[in-house]
Amino acid sequence: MSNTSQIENPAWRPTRVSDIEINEVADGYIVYQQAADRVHYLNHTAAILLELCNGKSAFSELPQLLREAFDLSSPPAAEVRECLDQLLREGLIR
Amino acid sequence: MPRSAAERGPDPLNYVETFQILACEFRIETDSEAIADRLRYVVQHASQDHEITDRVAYQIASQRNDLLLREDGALIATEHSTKTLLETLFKRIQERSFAAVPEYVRIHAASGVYAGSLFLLVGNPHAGKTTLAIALLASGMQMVGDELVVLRNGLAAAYPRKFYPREISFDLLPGLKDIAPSLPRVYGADGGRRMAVDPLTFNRPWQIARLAVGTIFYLDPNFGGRTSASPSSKVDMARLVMEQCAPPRSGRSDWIGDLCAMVNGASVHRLAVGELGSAVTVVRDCLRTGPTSG
Repeated sequence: MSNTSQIENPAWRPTRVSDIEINEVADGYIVYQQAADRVHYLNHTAAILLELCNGKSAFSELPQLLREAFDLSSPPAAEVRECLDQLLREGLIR
Repeated sequence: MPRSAAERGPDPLNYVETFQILACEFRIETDSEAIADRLRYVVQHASQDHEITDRVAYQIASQRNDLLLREDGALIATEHSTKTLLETLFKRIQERSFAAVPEYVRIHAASGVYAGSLFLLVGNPHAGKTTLAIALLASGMQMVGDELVVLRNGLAAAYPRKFYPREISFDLLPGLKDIAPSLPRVYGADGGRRMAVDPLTFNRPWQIARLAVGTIFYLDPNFGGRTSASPSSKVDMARLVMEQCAPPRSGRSDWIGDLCAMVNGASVHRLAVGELGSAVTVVRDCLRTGPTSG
């Protein structure tokens, strides 16, 4: 079970788990967790966010990185939080 | 409730058929006996749980040597040949039926119901889906479709249409030869003759309902060999099923999420389809207990 309390810590550096297989499809990623034998679909935004979960960027920095990537007028903080929460719950990041 | 047979109404359009496909109800009126006869090949009367949201009326009227096709009063085709007119009509019916459910993913699969869940037989054309579906139906299984399944929000349903086994495949289906002479025949897109069959042909109920998918079989032809089943990883099954999918007409991009959720919730098997009798046994065993070999 993932510890979703990390989402409350701005200094948390989300990191993609190692035992997943990423398959690029037209509208995002299909991610396979071999141990759980489960497949997940990530849309473009979630796929980019998963790529940004490299252990180098802090949780609090991710909205700004997405703002730059998509040329948005403001950092999508709520959307990033929701998406990371879901990735955590699915066990795709830690 | 769909009407169960062609009705004779007032002239001049004196043959009337009314039937449901998913959320769309179709009414066809014609003054042509040839058209009325051919409607037997395609009109189905499956019981369905979709609420009807759209209604479409077609009129097919003879005029000198032509047949005029009207959709909701508007002339959409003038054809000389019955065959061409019916092709146009059925294409329109399919388009309108899918337009009424624009969020649905379409999956190229035969389907049946087992223990309250749907099971799918997915595969490429000529993988044996229809022949196996008919064999399962004849063996007592509750088969509901042989070609298409629609999926939305975790629930799937067979697209209501008759099963169209190729005439030559009847040699593989003992017990059907006796009823074959009475079945309507139609020429498929490949030019081969096909029969029109459905559960009602076997005096069985035909109820199409939206259900969770409990088991998915992906059919690999092994004709002439033995039938066997083997487990598949979810990611392999997701890839294979995706190849047999058409995205929703609405263009929503999260349909792959629907597909992944369906695969995650199902028991998944590769089925090498060889001898038909053992294929029926293997499918039944998988549905009961998990993958086995036959």
